Amino acid sequence: MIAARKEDLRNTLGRYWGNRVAVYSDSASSPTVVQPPCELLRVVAECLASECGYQFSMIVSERRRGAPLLHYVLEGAEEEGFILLDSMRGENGDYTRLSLVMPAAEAYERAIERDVGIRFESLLQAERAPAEERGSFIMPIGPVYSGTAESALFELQTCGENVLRASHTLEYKHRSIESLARGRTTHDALLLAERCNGRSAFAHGWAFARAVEAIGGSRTPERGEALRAFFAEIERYRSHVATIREVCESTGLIVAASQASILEEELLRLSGALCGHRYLFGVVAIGGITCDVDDSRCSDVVERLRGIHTRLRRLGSALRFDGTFFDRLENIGVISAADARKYALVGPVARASGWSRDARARQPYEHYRRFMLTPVEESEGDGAARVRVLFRECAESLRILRQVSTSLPHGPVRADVPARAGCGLGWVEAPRGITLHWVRCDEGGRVVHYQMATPSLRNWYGFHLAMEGFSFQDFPITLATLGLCVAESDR
Amino acid sequence: MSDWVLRGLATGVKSSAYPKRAESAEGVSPGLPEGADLGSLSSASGVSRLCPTQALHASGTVVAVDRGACVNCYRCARAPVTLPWNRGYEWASLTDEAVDDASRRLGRAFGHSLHVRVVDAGDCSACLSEIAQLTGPYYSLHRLGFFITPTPREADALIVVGPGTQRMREALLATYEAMPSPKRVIAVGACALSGGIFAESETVEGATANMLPVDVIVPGCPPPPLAIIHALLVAAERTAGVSTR
Ligand code: SF4
Repeated sequence: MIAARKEDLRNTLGRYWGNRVAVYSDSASSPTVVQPPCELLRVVAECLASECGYQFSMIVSERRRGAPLLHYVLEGAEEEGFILLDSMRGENGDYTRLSLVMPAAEAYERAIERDVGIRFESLLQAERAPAEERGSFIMPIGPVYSGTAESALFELQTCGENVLRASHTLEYKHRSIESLARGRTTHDALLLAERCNGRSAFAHGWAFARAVEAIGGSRTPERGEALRAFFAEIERYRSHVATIREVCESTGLIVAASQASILEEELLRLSGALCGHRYLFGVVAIGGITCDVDDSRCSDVVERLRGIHTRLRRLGSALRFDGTFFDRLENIGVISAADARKYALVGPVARASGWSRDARARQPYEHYRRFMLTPVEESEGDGAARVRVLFRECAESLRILRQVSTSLPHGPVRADVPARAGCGLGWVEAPRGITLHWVRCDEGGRVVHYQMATPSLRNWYGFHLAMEGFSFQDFPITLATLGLCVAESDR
Repeated sequence: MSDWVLRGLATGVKSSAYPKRAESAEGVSPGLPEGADLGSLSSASGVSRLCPTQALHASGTVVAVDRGACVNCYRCARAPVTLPWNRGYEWASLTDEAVDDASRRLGRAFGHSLHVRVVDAGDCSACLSEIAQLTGPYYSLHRLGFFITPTPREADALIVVGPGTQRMREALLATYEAMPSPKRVIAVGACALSGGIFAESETVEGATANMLPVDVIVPGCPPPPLAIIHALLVAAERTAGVSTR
């Protein structure tokens, strides 16, 4: 399939530019690389987006023979996988700005300009300036605010009612995870991947492991794959319940928040009893998982989850019939489908805006290749739609868990992964959207380069879209419905 | 609205009996390794070499655990030769400085009740999530007279999570300064105790103690809600902490 895709790409691009655009891949398992000359970069990107349906995911910046080389990682439409679009320094020393045709790349280009010290051509519109409005003021919130919120700074410009401009500064939690990984063994770097966001540790660890497994060219045994999906769905379920709790808290519905909190704690205890850790730390390993769970244990877990789900459904219908809850969420923080697409939003946030990107269905991996999954979708794009998506995805997760528990393959749960030099891309649909991890290793199996694009990092574009034009006092509610994690963005 | 009241009442009491009685439910704690005599030189050095954060130190056949550095990776629990595993949660202790300096004690004036401000100095969000559980029905912190407050001016204790990122240093110190004295600082979790897995990062300060006078420490990655309750009880002098001497 990969070979066929490469041919397709070669034909499409060849039709316009002959052999001026190189299409190749380093090895059978590594992603296809498209390498146009500098002056063609933007038109090629446009062509890939409009004719082949590729969308921007992340920029990987590596050094090749001293000079930085930027790979724009693009995600294909249905089952097309990922390709790398290479960008090199132009004759005048500048790099081409792709964000002019792929707006989602803007934040990455800015970050690269700042951190890697390379220059992009200066074509960009000025940074979004405060709106000019008489009598308006900027209200700063953070970095220390509210009870148990993560550290971040928000600046809301307002005249008192509506938010004119919303901006956020994420720099307070910077732990340099990616550079910290350099020089470590992949087993040790995995611990860092897990801890970029402790609340979806399993998904991030899994994506990192998949990148390393792609380099080693190994496959996880079937039972390991199935159990990975099992743990990942438990994590998704718990993460969604936690977001529902936060939304209830933000609307001041204390009883509902307590009910959600009870379910969340029960899910944490269930994980703790299953594998030792309440947040599933130390479960995923390079090549599989560290602890096998026997079949009867899995059925028990599903049984208990059904009990939890009955109560979650009851909570959901109580919220629906309580006029005050969904009233507070409807028509606030609206993100249109066009914006979701333009900024390549991911996860439940994108799916609530009718932009149904779900890697489990679109880029199926491991166990998800074995069954059909229809992504949940809502179209309104407001806070209420985002909460509905969470409730519906919980039901979907339970369905997957039941399916996995009744058809667990036998055998080992972990395989050895040979240490090899090379690079690999791992992706997993984390609870809040697709997470991508790019790893380059040396022959000794040590990490040379590591970069990640987490779902929250990408969904922060949604923040100003959802805040501007809406009422100032909706800020905490909108923020809760977006379910953004600071730790995995400001890493 | 009254519907919610009924719903709440119908749920019944969920609260843990701790600290009156030990909590026996499964999955309330991730556990921590215990030091042990493994009986052979090679097992002791073999196990201690597994640790990614150098929390294990072998001397002869005995392995000692530096709990503050353990990041719950479970390598030493899943190796061929394993360390015994402590499934409890009463892990908090007073720091040596807090024991020696009587002027740092809160004294009886506090009626054994505390208002607590939480500051995130770069956590991975798991520690904060465990703190958020504290106010939920299972742990209902309020029944013990502890309250999480949004304002430092009202706070008697400061909980710090995360490896102390440089960019949070100023905000953290400002929060501490804004609190009236006497006040206590509680470092929660491996990152706040030793920098944890991020200890070698160039953009973190490491242990909270590098920036503030710390009174109570509680290990774990993350410490479960019951361990944080234990830390609050130790801070309020309602129970003695784990002895570290
Ligand atoms: S569980 Fe803790 S002590 Fe054991 S190896 Fe991991 S970090 Fe070290």
